[in-house]
Amino acid sequence: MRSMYKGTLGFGLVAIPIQLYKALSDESVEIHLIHRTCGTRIKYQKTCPHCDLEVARADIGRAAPLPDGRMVVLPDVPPEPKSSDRTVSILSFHALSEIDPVYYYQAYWIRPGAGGLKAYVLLRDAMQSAGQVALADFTLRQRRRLAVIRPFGDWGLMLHSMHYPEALRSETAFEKDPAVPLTVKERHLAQQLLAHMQETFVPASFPNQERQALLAQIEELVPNARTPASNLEASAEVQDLMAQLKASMAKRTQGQTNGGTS
Amino acid sequence: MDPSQFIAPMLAMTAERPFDSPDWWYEVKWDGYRALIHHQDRLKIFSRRGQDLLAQYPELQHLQDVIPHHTILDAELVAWVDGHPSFSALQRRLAVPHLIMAFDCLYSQQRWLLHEPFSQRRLELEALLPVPNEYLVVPSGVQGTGLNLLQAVKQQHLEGVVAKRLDSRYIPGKRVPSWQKFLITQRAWFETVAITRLKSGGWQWWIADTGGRPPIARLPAPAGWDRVPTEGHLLTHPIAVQVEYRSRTEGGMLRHARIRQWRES
Repeated sequence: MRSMYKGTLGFGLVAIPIQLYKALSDESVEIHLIHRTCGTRIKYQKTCPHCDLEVARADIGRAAPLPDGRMVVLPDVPPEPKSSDRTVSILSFHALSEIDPVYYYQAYWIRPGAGGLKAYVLLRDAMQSAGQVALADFTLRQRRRLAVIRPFGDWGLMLHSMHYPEALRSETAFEKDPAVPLTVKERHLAQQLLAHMQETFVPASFPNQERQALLAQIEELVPNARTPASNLEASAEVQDLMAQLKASMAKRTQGQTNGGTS
Repeated sequence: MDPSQFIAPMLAMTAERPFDSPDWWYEVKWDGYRALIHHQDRLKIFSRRGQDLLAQYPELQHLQDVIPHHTILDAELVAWVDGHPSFSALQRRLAVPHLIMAFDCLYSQQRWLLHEPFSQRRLELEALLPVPNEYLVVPSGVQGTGLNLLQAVKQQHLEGVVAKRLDSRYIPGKRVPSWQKFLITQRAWFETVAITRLKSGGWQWWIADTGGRPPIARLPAPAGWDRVPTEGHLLTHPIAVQVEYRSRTEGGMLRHARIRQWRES
């Protein structure tokens, strides 16, 4: 597995060298879009409908539209910042339950970098015994993000990149539910049902059936797999075939002149 | 006549029996769709009945760079799979190479050639397209030795031979005795009654006479058939399948059989 981030985890005065690895694999099966007739992968072109031409990468800019239809053209993003900000800075510690799952974005394994093992283990064990998780911030792919760092499983630290809390749309966007009178009996019944359906969460009992069905379908179709059309080869094969016909005719003619039968 | 308008192709009769004659030209019969290619100001490709083949096989548009303007060619469009034409791949428009096998030239350099003898038209065709290329081939033929070509064609599992009188004119839309075909195979519709998996991973179709058992052939499933039987391999709704074969054994089994096309209900 390739690390996607090398940096340091800043914890007070301590800096722990770390690497991040994506913790969740892409659930979608890799599928290409092709042109049915020839099997070639289709290509996306960035075109300008006004100038009616394909736009080169260097000529593509960024602009923010304004409500009145005007737009603000933004300066070019500076190229990949140097490792200037390669620090995951721990801001504070919290109980995990304080942080609502709604903010979670992506998950990454944190592994210690060279010389960082001791501090890594120390931090992990300290969080584990205190029952606390760390809130941190860091920059990934030119975007500043909040993150939660927590012990995960028996021996690791997990980093969850997060949405900023302000991204959460308020419930006030919806009309308030009208008051609904509920009887004690109804509440009791609902609680009973809930208790009845309560069980331990076993991750393995929730396989991604859709993905597995698609993979099975692909597997079944492997015997029908084809390489994208190459006309050049086909045309050469016709020439080969014609040559074989000629050779087999010549052989037969020769057989006849020698008095043989064929 | 307007060279951009559809011209119905000349058709060959089935020969009573194959023959050799020094007055005749023999060429391979390709199993595909008849295609009449008109390149006036723009390229048009008509099927045997005058339908637009370019709409169905848009990659044939490349031919506009290959065929000179003011030309009409008579040809067969084939789909090419594993070194041979595949009719079923053509019909299903599979992602395989499509080739034009050109065999006649009806109009060239703004001049009609219909009244020229076949031998002259063939020379014009070869002069027009001297080098084979990616999209279009002018397959060679032989003069006089049709039976020998037929044997060679049989060995290569091709469809047959077309014989053309060297002095024959091109008569649009007519089935004429000056063009004759020698067919190696017969065609008939059967039913696929069962499907099994081969050790190699491919699928095998069990073919039976319509309404009858037992199976008379077991053939590899055709390319482009991608429905996978979910349960059991005996089909409750048989697949109608056209098979090309050379002959039947005394027991009724098909010899040298291959699937030409099929229809799923």
